[in-house]
Amino acid sequence: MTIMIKTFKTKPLILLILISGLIGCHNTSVKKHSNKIAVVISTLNNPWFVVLGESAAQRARELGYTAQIFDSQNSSAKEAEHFDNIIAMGYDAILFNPTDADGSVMNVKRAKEAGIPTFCMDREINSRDAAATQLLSDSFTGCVKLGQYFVRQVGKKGNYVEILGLVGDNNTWNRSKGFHSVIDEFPDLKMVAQQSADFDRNKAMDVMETIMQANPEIDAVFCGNDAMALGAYQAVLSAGKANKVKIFGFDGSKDAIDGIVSGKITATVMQFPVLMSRTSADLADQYIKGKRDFSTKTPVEVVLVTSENVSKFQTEK
Amino acid sequence: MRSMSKIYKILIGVFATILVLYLSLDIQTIEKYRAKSHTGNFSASDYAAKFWEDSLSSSIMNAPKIIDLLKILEENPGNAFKKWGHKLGISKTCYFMVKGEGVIEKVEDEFLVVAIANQTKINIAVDFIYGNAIRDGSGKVNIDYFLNMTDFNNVSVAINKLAKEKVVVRLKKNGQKGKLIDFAGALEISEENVDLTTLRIIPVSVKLSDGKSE
Repeated sequence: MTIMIKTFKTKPLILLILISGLIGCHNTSVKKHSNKIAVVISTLNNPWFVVLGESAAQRARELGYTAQIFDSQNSSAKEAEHFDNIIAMGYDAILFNPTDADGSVMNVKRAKEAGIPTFCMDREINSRDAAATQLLSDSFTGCVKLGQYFVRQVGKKGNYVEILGLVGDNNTWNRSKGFHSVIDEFPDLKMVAQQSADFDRNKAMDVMETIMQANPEIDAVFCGNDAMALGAYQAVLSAGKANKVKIFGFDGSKDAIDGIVSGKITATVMQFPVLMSRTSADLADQYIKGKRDFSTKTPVEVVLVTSENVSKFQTEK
Repeated sequence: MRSMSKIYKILIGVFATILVLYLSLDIQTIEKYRAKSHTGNFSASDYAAKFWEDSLSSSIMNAPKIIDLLKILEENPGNAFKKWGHKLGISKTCYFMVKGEGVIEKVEDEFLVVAIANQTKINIAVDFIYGNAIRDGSGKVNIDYFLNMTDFNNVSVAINKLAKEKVVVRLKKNGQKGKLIDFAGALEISEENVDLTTLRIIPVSVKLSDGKSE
């Protein structure tokens, strides 16, 4: 299935920033050692990112900093605006969950030029040297594990749907490619539709309803996060096919864990946002205190959660 | 006059913003976007081929005998992880490169059961060749070299593909019960749950009793 997607080019956005700078920004002096850490999150419209942002801010406060959370609302322009303000206000470090792997690079570079280190959390930017370091869920490997479980549960033959997250986010593709690195070796597993629902539960429900009208015979759905998996489940339930279609998610959200226990969701992959965000705050603190030798990227292991091991995760996170 | 100038300034600003946002929109198909894939000029298959040619043999040479690894894992797992294991980032999974010899005792769909010394049995995979065991168990692939995780993970896929093509296909065909097998391969073990009964080795080099190099 072919669908159209919209992405942002970076050059016009640079132009926008330059224009806004010419029109009104005069005060761009950088204040050093302000004892402030900024937490910039791609969206606070998703509980997973709320946990990521609040945990990072909480850890920064525990370390003695003033921490402020900025919501980019999944908008590269909004994110650029936040970076302008953060640079102008002279923050010591930025704990950053980017909106776009390519589009966010220039923001991180501008912060670096202003002497403010950026620590990426969960989502990656396509740069080796812009960020001080990047702590990233090993989404690809998680979805390789999920893909193998998918084959064992669904079988080596059947029709499935893939619902993607944000197309500008590397995590979307790392998850998709990890999954396909397994599934594509089974030619009788046919993907009847692949469509983006932007990691959004309601969009996933709408997308799934539309797909099922054209493809009534579906055995399984692979979703790029748990919110979309739960949206897809709602659509499948409404169509009276909840017992036939197996749903797979990613994140390890509480709702998905409960869904595995009740049989709504077949499997998910547990990420550890609290660990990632707290570690990022610790690394920022170390940077501020003089440490510089960070690995450019630090993958954080994820864990496959199924009915066989879900009890271990019902209270753990 | 000043208020007119301010209005013009605002109008220019609004117009510029709308123009830039319009120019920023790039409508394309999902397949086209995916094809771009941010990989630049990096070729995972070329990297994997060079790894197989240049780095793998030294990893095998320095790998412990499986029987020695198992012994230390039983006595003091922490020592085994420290001495021979490779971990990536924040993780509880440790990867090892190992070598050894034994007798094929049973042929299953997804693996061969091989009896090594002291009646210990291990499984050598002949299906579901996935994951990072070879890439990370070798200790030769540095994540800092890669622009992004996509490139880094594509290397695992390409290395696993080589393992399938160069080793697994022929092992699956010729690995029969009773044959002697000389092998090297990679495996993963969870630090949280050191279960030696379910070890699964992905082979990177195999020689069977008839001397035929696999």
